[in-house]
Amino acid sequence: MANPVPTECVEALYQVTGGDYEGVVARLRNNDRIAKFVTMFADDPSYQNLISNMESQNWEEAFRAAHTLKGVARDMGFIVVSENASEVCEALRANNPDLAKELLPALQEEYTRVAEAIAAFRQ
Amino acid sequence: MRPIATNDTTKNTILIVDDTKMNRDLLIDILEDKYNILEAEDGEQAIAILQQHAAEISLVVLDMVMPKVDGFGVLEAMNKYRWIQYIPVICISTQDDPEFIERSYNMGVTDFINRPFDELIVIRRVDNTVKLYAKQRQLMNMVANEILEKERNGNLMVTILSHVVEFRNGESGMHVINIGKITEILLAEIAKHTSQYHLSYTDRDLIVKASALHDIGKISIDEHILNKPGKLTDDEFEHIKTHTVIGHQMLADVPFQEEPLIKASREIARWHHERYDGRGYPDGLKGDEIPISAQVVALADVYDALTSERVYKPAFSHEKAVQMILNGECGSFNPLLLECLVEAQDTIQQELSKPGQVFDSFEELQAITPAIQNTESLDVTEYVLGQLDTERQKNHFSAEVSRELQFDYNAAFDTLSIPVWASKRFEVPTSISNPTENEKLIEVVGADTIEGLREAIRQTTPHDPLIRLDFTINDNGDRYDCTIVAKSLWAYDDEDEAQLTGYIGKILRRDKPSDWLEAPFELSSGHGTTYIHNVTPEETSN
Repeated sequence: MANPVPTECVEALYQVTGGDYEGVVARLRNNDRIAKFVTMFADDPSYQNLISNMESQNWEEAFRAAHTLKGVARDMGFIVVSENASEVCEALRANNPDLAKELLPALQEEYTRVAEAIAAFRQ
Repeated sequence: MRPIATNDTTKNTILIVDDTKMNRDLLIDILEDKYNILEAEDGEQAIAILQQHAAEISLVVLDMVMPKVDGFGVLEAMNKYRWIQYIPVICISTQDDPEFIERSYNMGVTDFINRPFDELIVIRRVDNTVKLYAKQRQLMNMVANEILEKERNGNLMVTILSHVVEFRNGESGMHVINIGKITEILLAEIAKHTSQYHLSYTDRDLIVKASALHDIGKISIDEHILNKPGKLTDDEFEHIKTHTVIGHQMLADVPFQEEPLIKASREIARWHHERYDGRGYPDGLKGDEIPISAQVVALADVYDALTSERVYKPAFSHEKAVQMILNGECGSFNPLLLECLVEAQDTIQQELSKPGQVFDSFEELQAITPAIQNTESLDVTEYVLGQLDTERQKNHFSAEVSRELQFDYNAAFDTLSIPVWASKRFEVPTSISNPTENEKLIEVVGADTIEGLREAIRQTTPHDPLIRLDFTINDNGDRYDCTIVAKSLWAYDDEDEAQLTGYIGKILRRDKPSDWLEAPFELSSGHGTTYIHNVTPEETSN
């Protein structure tokens, strides 16, 4: 890790995105670690995989991407993203792609909001 | 995958299997202070890594949802190869699906880590599981050693007995060892060809052990006849022939007649001079009336006699011996057996040229494989065998390449082993039986040295096992000063008395120490001669 990231910055990021800051601190215990993995979350390809596989109707791959996204978002305390991804994931698990498509925009909106905040935080 | 070579050997190694890089990185971030980490991006990679490093891995952290081979696929492989018996698995799960959890437990998973990851829980679960299994491994090794010890005592008795017989016959102690090796190889080959003789591993192992006693009846034959250098009279030959029936009778008089080992020994003692065409002795049995055990030992006996030097004949080459057997010059054998001899002849030749296993762990442990496998759920063999084999190979390799003249002596077999290069240079075998009476060896190191060494060893104790002795070596007329440094090896018997089992040591040159480096690097292994490198010290220093 390069320079330590000020705690306030990380905290501010979670305030902007509505993430579970206390939860993340309690579990990961280290501000630098949180900062490092927040940016890694933004770089994780699962969201892009989910979108492209939904478009190409590759439901199995889409399911796996949603499942991963749900997990990593939950790890980083982005609970709404995680819950939205979980709904898409469950719809796909139940072989209901139509429902998944219906649920996707909410996830897209929430993910974009968090991703933008992280992009701003990076600078 | 991270290279395992950079590992810190004081840390345990864990394998993290997850298709999501971020998950792996987060787990690594949490665990890397205390553990060496191997990473696999999917199930296929995980299995490949386990295949190479199973013995070094203390724990697998496994994601279940992955492309290609998923977590259940990895568990399946771990069950198939029995890694699951000694490598614990912790599953990463976001699912609370009871069916999923039950299925994982049924496949041998030890514990779960739930998402989202909590540093404290991840560390504690991993630590606890690694510690628990370390204890279990320790116990498995203890049990394996215990079994090994029992087995060794049993084998020792058979070895002593067969050596007594050979001593009277004027044969070398290698004959029994060679017959055992050839018998083992031929039996394995037969089992590959056909199931008609029902040769399970246990059966084969028994026959190999029993083969050591094939000539036990000879202890009742007059020594003068046994060792007569000239041609035998008809009467004398008839007398020698009785060793088969007498051997059988001796073994029929011991208790435990139903013991498979005794039964196999009886068959072999009586019928190892029968011929497949019915013209052998003592009973003139024909074809498969002769038990397969006796058929195989008969062939092994003939082969070893042909390739060994005797008072009345030189040692024939391997090729010549096989040719003579196939031409029917040395008796009549089961065609299937001859086919197996041809198939396995390279293996036989290689195995017989191998130096004796002074650290006899691997071969002996191989023999106890079935014993351990029978103790259900305690499948330590693969793990322990793998470790021992690695040690043996390391030892063998460093003996060959170090260019110090490393040697070891096994008291039970009275056999001295030296590296291949030294054997070639001094024109002595790599495995010298009865070394104190080997003329060539006496010429090289001198009778005084051998006597001095013997005396020095006699004075060692388990607490004071080291020996140092200066002497002059005679390297084909070229003389130079050397120092022997050796350590006597001890084992404790049932009464806790220390017994000398042998010694290991090195001969160091006190002049021109680089000279020995010029010999080509060679290993004698089961795979023939392997040239590793062929550089002289000058080239290496460039």
